[in-house]
Amino acid sequence: MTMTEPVPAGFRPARLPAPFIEASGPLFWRDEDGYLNLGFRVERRHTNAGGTLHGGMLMTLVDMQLNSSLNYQLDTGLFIPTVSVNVDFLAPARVGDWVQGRTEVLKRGGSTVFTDCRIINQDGTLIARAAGIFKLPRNGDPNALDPRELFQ
Amino acid sequence: MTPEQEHDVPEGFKVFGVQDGLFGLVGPIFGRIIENEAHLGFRVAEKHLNPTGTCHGGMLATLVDVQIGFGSSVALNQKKFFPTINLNCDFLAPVLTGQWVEGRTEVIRATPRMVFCNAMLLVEGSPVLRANGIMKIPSDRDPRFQMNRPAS
Repeated sequence: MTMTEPVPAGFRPARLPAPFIEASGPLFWRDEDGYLNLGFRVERRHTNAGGTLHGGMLMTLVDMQLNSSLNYQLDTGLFIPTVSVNVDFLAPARVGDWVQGRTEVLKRGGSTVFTDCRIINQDGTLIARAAGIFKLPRNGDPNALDPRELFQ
Repeated sequence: MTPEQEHDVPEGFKVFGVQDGLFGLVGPIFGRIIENEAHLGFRVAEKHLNPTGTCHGGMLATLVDVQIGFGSSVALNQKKFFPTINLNCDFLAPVLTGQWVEGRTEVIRATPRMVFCNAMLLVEGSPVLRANGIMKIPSDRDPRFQMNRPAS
């Protein structure tokens, strides 16, 4: 399998400027009725010793799905660090599967954001459910890249 | 960081895991077993970073996912790969390039089919990530989860 493997309709490469995502990705994105979906196709390089999608790679997708959605759905350019993520691993994903996520922002407080996200495969089977807590920085770095520019 | 620096690891640590899966991609990660404790670790390189230049949460989550699963398996003296059911990560402090991150696991309770554990990732003895996990203990008859590991 290569990076040229077809991705579902509407998905484009997400040019996330994180070296870790460059190393483990790429991830793809699309807009779904104002929600951000991030996804990728599972390759052998993403697997664990059992031959299914490694929990760490799934956590990586969850973290990016939550984090990028905050920028996209809350329309902010701040970098929003993760405070806590809780993931339930409901079903394995296999090589060749397409996995993608969707995030609900439950509450945006003054400095804390509470979120929910679900990761499904190409059949709509729920692979993981996650809850995330994020810290909104008080002041952003004006020279930092605005993540919203990546999803236009 | 050069490959030599990435392989500059504390005493007793050896390259961990199969290299054609996720560890080949985002690793190497290293492990050692002291009595019934498994310690996993890695040195933060440029490829592990997020856009703000600290270690990506996905990489820390990847390490701690292995720390809970392998750490529990070793603590219970089992030669099985324990699939994760739930993983909760609290990101306590940022981790910088060049720092050595190392994990510990504490099994809280094990039943014949379930394990509940805590895990901590440490940098120079200070916690940077706190996790708790729930894993399934697969049946002896399920060939997918048997591990080829020398007796500790």
